[in-house]
Amino acid sequence: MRWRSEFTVGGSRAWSLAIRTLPWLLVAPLFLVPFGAAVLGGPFGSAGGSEALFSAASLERFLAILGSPSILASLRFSLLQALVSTSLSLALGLPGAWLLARYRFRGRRLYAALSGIPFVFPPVLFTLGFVRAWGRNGLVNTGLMSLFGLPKAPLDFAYSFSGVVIAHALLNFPLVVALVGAVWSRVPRTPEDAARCLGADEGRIFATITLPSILPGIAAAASLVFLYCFMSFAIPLTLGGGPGYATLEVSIYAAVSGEQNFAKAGTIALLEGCCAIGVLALYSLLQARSVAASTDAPGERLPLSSQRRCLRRAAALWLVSSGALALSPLLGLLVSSFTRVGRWGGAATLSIEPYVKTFTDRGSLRAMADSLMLALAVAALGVGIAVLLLIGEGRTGKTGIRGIFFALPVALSSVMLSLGYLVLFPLGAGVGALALVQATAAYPLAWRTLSAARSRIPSGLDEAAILLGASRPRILATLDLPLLRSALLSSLALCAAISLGEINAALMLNPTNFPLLGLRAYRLMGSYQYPLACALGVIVCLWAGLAFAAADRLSEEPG
Amino acid sequence: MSRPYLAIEAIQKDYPDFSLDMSLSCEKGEIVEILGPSGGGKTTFLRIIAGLIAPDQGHILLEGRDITGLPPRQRGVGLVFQDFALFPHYDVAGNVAYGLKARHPRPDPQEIATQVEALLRRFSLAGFGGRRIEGLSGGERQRVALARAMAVSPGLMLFDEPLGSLDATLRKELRGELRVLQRELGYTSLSVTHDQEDALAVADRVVVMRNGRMVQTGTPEDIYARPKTAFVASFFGDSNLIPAHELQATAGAEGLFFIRAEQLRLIGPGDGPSDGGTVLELVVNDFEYRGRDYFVKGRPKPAGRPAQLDRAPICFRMAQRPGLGDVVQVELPQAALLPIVDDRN
Repeated sequence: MRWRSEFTVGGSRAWSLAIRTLPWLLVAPLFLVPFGAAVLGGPFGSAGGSEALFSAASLERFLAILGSPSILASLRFSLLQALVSTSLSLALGLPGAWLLARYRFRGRRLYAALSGIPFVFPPVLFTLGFVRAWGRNGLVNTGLMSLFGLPKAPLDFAYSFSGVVIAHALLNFPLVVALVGAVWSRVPRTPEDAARCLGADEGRIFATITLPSILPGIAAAASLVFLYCFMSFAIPLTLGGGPGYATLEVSIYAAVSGEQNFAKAGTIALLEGCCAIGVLALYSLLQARSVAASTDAPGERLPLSSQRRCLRRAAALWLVSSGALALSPLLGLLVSSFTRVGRWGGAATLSIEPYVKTFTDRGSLRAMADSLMLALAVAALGVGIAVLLLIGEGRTGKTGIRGIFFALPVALSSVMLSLGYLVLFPLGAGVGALALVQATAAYPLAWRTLSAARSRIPSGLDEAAILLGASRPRILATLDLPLLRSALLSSLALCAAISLGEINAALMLNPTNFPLLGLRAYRLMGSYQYPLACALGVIVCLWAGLAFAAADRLSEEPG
Repeated sequence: MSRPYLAIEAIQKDYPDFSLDMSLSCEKGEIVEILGPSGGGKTTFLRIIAGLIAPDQGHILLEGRDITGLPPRQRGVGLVFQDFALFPHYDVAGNVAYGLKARHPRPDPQEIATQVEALLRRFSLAGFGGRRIEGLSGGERQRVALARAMAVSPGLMLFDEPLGSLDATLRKELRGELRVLQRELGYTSLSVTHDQEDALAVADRVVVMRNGRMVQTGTPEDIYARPKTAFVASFFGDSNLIPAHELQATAGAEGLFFIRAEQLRLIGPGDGPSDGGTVLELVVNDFEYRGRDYFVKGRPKPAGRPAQLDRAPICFRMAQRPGLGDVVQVELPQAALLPIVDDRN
């Protein structure tokens, strides 16, 4: 009866009951209803309105769709590319994680900050930048051609299986750096010293002492990256380009937009949802194990500059080149946005023409205004939901069934949820549904940010407040929220950034009379108007960056 | 002249806010306790000897061999860590076998199992081989840590606060165990501790360390009875540090004098002072019951005037329970007063 004692001290039973049930009543339907509608309204839905929901006929139809070659091919591709992408992300991320955990060096914080890229750089714009950096006419190829006088582009992998997995790896490896780096730096050091004194060489120490203790952390990071890649949408949609290279997520969209086949889309959603929930559960389990094995404080970091010269050089080389890899799509986006394609296929020249065009085009200006409005609404909604969950969960953190349940939107993609809204509102779901889908997709990150920040508040504070006579709401208003100010601001920025460049739900729901930046950039890219698309992309990234800078700035001011 | 078993010659290590500068030598089989307050560089010193930290300057010679530049695994030095640093993902046998396996490129599992079995028996851990570390008590953990470190039979054992994380009862018990073990196995032991009771109880020789420097070294008896500086004096037991001008016997002298609480003699109503000693009149200010007698603090009170609050209290021992505010007379025997270097602050 832990919760009773915790909640009856500062408030009435009714208050505590409301606080416990509100998330279940308000938040759970946000993803359960659309997902249920997507699944039940599709394969199990009554096609003509006369069948019962779970009839033999509907089950047969469901199994028939599930067994169809196109879905199996899509499942196989999803799993295979996710596996390869994850391995590649680990290979690119682990050396950086080690350096980050064990050494001090200039630019350390900058390198760690790269892990923000997958959260603030919308995948569609990332893809755009990736193509502009690594595509046939991209920065790298152009550079290599002019440097070595090559007649044609030496690198031609962007639109292929390799392109998909490399883009995934570039997007996700900084996440591996941050997640594994954090675990690695919190592994207790003395066992390594003990092994050293017992005569183990460095290789053996790593294999027998260090590796076993960071393995759960590596596995947790790998499963998260696997999940992101498995459910990836914009990257395979753009770079895969065909039915052969479609993830399940892309197949849902194809089934809806191409064939108008909601039964097929719903079946895929169920299949993908089940797989994703499985991976999410695995991640939660591994994460809990990894946290249990770590100490509270990170160990001492040695200055890299005092290390052996070969290590120093290798580390510098690795940090610079992997950092450049991570930033290459951003660079591609930026450079491309300042170019003008020459007439009649002439060489591209530097120009601010794309920006001039963007800011004089009524369509683009409307898209900016509408996207900003939507982003603000999504930020307010997403953070509101996160705060609601935070109040409900007490002080104990979010591990356990409840934590996994409310993190489900990580595994139930916005494409699936959009499908549900399309089934629920066949005449058009509109902007409201879009905002709800985006907020549902965004709140788990806001929740995690806030939850992590709150766990850093010393636990004695609210007990002291209770003993001084403060009620629960008063504690929330006078202690928790002020102390969480910076986390609140950055979660607002995070949710807004996620909304700004999002195209998954936008493509699915495609609200009429509501042009959006992400969609516009995607369509411009589709018609090969790269500079214009990139200019829009840079504007979105700039706004997202400004939002974070502002959040950072505001939270630092004494309040 | 025979060379020492372990010779540490002018080891220096500089940190931004701290520097270490130590020389020390030990005979084979000696138990040396390095004592000092936390943050005094004791652990750093041990880690330098073990090879976990490289010194900026100086040499470490073990049996005449210069081991300064060697990696830890080639030194033949065992280290028992403060928190024992047992490997949580190995069982007890796995921990003990670790060093044996690490030292042989192709270890024979049968031979290692036999050796581990023997070690576990020696450290009263028979039957514990399959146990997980989490389930062990503090004493059991310490024995596993010892067995692990001694499995590779180092001649020199280093202990970093070996009793530091244990409660008072257990630490007395394990202190005894460590002493017995050392006598049986005959290794040379170098421990660091911040507990003067541990140091005095176990050591053949005590080294007092402060701010990275050695302040004094000697037998426990020597250090206790004849501290060279005020810091050493106040680190061991209850001591009085009295400026020379407050003592009749040393009138005219400069500096600071030292006398232990138990050396002050209480003057009863019938007794007179013996000649030569200083007699002080004290007002009892505070006291603690220590079992055998009372440990009393009193403020000096010149005749006919109130107690002087600005002067440090004098501590002494009484057989009977004093009353607060009682005025007592104590004598500071001339022979017990020891001039001492004032290195406070």
